[in-house]
Amino acid sequence: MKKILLIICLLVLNGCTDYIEINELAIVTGIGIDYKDNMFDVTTQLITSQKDTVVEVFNTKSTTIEEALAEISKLSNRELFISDLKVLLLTDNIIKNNINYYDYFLRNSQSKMNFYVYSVKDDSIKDILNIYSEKEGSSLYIDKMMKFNERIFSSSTPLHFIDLVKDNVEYGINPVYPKMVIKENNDEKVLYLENLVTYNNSFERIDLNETNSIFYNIVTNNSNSTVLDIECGDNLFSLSLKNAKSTYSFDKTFNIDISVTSKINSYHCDMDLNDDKTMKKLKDLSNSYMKEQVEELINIVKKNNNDFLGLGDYIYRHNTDYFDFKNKDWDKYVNKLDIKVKTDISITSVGEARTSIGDKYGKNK
Amino acid sequence: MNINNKIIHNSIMNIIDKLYKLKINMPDLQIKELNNKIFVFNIQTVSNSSLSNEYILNYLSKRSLFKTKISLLKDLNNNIPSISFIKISDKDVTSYLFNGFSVLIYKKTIIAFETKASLDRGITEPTSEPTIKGPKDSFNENYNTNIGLIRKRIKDENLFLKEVTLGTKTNTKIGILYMNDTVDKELLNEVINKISNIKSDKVLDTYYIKDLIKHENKTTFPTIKSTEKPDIIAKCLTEGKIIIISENSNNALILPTFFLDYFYYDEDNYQKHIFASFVKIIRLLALFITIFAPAIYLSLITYDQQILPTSLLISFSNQRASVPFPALIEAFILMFTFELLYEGDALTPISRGTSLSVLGALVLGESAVSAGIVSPIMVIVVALTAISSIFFVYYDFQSFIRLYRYSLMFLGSFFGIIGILFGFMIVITNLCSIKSFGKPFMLPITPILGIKSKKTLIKKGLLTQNISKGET
Repeated sequence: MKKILLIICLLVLNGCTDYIEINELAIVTGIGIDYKDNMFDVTTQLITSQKDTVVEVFNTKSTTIEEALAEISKLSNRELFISDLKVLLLTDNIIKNNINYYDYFLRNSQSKMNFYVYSVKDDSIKDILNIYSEKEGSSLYIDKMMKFNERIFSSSTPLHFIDLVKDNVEYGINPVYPKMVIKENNDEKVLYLENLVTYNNSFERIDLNETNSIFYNIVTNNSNSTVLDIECGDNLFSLSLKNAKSTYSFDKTFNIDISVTSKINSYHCDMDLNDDKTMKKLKDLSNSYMKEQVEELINIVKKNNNDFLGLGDYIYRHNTDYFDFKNKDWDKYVNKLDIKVKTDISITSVGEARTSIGDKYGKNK
Repeated sequence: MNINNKIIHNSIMNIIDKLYKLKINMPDLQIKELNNKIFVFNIQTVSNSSLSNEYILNYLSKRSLFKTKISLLKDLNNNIPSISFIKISDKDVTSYLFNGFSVLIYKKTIIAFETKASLDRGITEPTSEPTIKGPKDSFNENYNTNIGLIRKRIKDENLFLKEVTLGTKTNTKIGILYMNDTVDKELLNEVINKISNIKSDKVLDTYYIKDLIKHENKTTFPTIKSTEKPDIIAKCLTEGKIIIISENSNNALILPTFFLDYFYYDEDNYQKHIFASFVKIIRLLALFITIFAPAIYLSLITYDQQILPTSLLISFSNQRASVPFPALIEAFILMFTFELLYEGDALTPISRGTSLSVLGALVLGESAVSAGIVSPIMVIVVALTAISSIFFVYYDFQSFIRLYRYSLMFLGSFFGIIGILFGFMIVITNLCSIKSFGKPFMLPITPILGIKSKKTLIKKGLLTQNISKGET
C-alpha cells in the first residue's frame, strides 16, 4: 500500500515540469542579429502550425538577446523553441564591434549549438528571413543550400556556431564566415551563397574570391569534391578533385603538404592523352597551379595579418614555446613565418574520350 | 478365514447399497441385476452401452455362472478375450464407474470392464498456434491421445511418465513427462513436489496447475509456456524440459521456460539459420516497439522535442494542431479502443469478425482522424504497437506486454524520456531477477555462461536446457 501511495505521489507531485504540447511551440529556425545604438536588433523566423505550416518573422530591439526573444515570444503568443535553430545571421556591425552575442546560445540548455553562422550585409537580415515565407521558410532553404554546396562545390564552408566560438577563443586562428546575399534572377529575388569572409584581430574584413575559397577548403581539409580549371598553353582542362587531404607540419619552417586524387572532367588541350608524357605534363601543370593558388592564399594571410588558415593554432598546439601567444598578437607576426607548400596530385581517370575533339568541331575555350 | 470372508461380503453389500442410493440422484447410473446375485453397474453418459450389451450381458445370458466351479476371472478370460477387464477392490468402484467402466459384482469378486465412450473430438489443426510448414496435428482433450501423439514422436524407453491425480472433486489425471537421461533431476523433484502438494478441489485444465505452481516470483512475466503442438513438446522433451499434460486439456505445459523461448517458434526450423536469426531479431525489436513505442511518442511530443529532427517536428506539430485533448488523453482514447477491438475480436465468432475489423479500421481510424479527435500520427503509433504485439501469440505474454506498455506510457507522459529510461531499468531489473524453477529467467543472456554457450546462442539462437547440466 505504501509503495502504491509513493508511486501515486511521485506521479502527481512532480508537476509535469517542462510539459509542453508539440503544437504549442513556435519553432525558431532562423535568427538574425544586428547591433545599432547599443541595442540588439533581433529578427527571428518562426514556424508555427495551425493545421498547416505558417512561417512568421518578428523583429524587436532590446539590450540583451534574451529580452528580445522574450518579447518575440509575447508577440507570437507561443513558447519559443530554439533547439531546431538552423541559421544565425550576423551583420558586419556585430562582428566589427566585437559584441558578445554568443553567450545566450552557449548558456541556454535548449540550444544545440550545431547551427550554422552566416555573415550578411547590414540591412539585409529582414529580406533574407522574409524570402520564401510561403513555403517552408528561408532558414531551412539556406540549410539545404549549404549542405548541397558542401557536398558538390566546396566553394563555401559551413561554420558551426560551436566552431566559431572555439575559433574566437583559441589562439592563432580566425573564423571564416560564409556569406549569404540576395540576388535578382529573372526579376525574382533568390538567395545565393557567396564566397567566404574573414576578419582579423583588428576586425579588418577580407572577402575571398571563389578560387581562394576553394583552396581555403582544400588547405583546411573541408573539401569533399570540387572542380578546378587549369591552363595548358592557350586552352583549358578541368579536373574534378576528390579526397583532398592536407597535412601541416612545423619545424622552423611551416610545411603544408596537399595530396589529391582527380579525374579529367573536360579537356581542350592539344596534347595527346594516349602519350605517357602528356600525363606527366598535365600532372606538373596541375601541381604548379595548385601550389600557385595556395601560395596566393598564404599571401593574403601575410598581407592582411589575418591567420584564418589556423597556422598559429597548429604551432600553439605542437610547439607552444615558439611564440608567446597569450601576450602577443599572432596576427601581426604571421607574415614572418616561413611557409613551404608541397602538392601531390594524381590523375586517376581521363574519361571516355582519349583525345580532344575540340579542333574538329570548332574552338571551345 | 470365515470371518474375513464375511467382512468382504459385508463390504460388497455396502457398496451395492451405496450404489442403489446413488441411483436416486444419478439417473444415468444403470444397474442390471441378475438373480439377485450378479450386479452390473455402469454410467450411461460416460460409457458405451453397446459394448456392455454386446459382451457382458451377452456373456451372462449365455452362461450359467452358478454351475461352473472355475473362478469368474478364468471363465471371463476364456469367453470374452476381446474386452479388457481388471479385478478391482471395493474402494475403487466409484472412480472406475466415473471413468466409464462397467463394474460387475458377483459374490466376492468385483470386475471392471473397459467400456469407455469416446467423448473427444479427433485430432485437428492447431488453432492458437498456426503453422505453415510444420506438422499440423494438435492435442485434443483426450489424455491418452495426447500421450500417444508424443510417444509417436519419441520412440525411446527413456521417456518416463509419472501420473498424479489432482483435485478432490474433479479427480483429474495429470501426467508429468520427461526424458530420464537428459532431465535435471533436481528440477524434476521440485516439479513433482510442487504438483503433488497442490490442494485444490478442482483442476480442470493445465492452466489451473500453471496458476498453482508458479508462486516463486512477484512478476507478471509468464515463466511457464504452454502449447498445443506435439512436435514442440517432443523437441522440448529431448532438450531436457519437463512437460505437464492433463486430462481434458489440449494444452501442455513446458517448464522451465526462459525469456528467449518466447522468441523461438517452431516454424524457424523450416528456414535457413540466417533467415531464422533475422526473424528472431525482428521479434526482439517488435517486443521493444510494442512496449515502448507509445511511451516514447508521448514523451517526444510533450517533453523532449529536442530529439526530433526539424522536418519531423514540423510535421508532428501540424498533425497535432487540431486535436483538442492533451497527448496522454489522446493516446489513452486510442489505446483503449484498440484494446476493445482486440478483446472483442478474440470473443467474436469468425463470421462477425470481418464486420468488426471494418468498423474498427474505418470508423475508428479514418473518422476519428477526420473528426479531429486523434492525430493521424497517433493512429500510426498505436497501429504499429498493435502489429508488433501480434508476434507474441501466447496470451500470458500479451498481458505482460500490456502492463508494461501502460506503466511506461504514464512514466513517459509524466517524466519524459527520463521516465522511460527509469521504466526500462525496472523492466530489465525485473527480467534479470526472475527465476524460472530455480534457474535465472534470462539464461543464457545473463548470467553469462562462457563462450561456448554464447556461441550456441548466436548460432542456434535458442536455449537448450543442457546448458544447466554442468556449465552453470
